[in-house]
Amino acid sequence: MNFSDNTDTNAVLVREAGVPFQLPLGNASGVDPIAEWLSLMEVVQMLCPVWPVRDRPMQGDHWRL
Amino acid sequence: MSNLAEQIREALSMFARNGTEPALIGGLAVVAHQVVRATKDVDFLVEAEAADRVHAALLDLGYQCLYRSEDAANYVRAADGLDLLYAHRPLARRLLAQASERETPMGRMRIISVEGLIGFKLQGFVNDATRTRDLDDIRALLRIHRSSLDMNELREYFALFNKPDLLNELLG
Repeated sequence: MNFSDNTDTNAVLVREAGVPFQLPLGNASGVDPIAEWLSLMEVVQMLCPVWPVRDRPMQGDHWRL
Repeated sequence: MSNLAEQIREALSMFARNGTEPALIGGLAVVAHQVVRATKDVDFLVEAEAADRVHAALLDLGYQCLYRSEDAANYVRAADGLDLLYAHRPLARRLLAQASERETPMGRMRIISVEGLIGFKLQGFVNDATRTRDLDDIRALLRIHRSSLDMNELREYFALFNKPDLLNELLG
């Protein structure tokens, strides 16, 4: 894992230890971002078992894609 | 495996049974493109022709439909949310066709391109300016993938939403 050595604005994420990191690009690192996310969400859901769900439909009239 | 993973695996299985191959969009697609953050957004881009049978299948799985239009639909089931965007315009159809397939812990999944994801995030923000998370995601994706992005494609999306200057602003 490629940990950044500072807390400047290039940091993409602050993990549970407060250490910012950015996953290396490509597959060479062997780090799967979705596996990382699942691991992160295990912790998040333990800390916050009740997660807000959508309480209003999507907004807007600008559907152009 | 977590409930979230089970929910996504169940959805992928449902899509396969209904003969449609959606592409992951939204917050989890942002994760798939290397910006790992907490999200429970399970969003898929689905071919418009599959909308009715996917709708019926989701109701069979116990989801409740909160909203449905020709462009999008929102479903909830207890604490699970699932949103769909329907590909019926040429741009979305192209992005769906070009989505790349990837092996994930929940099975094989098709994932929208970074450029397409930024386009959909921009559409979300334009539709609801309170969704500043969308801008944060765009910034993070631009920061990580800047050297490999197709800038002409991105400019096309920002022009489509009359926000040509916003791209330069987000690029810093």
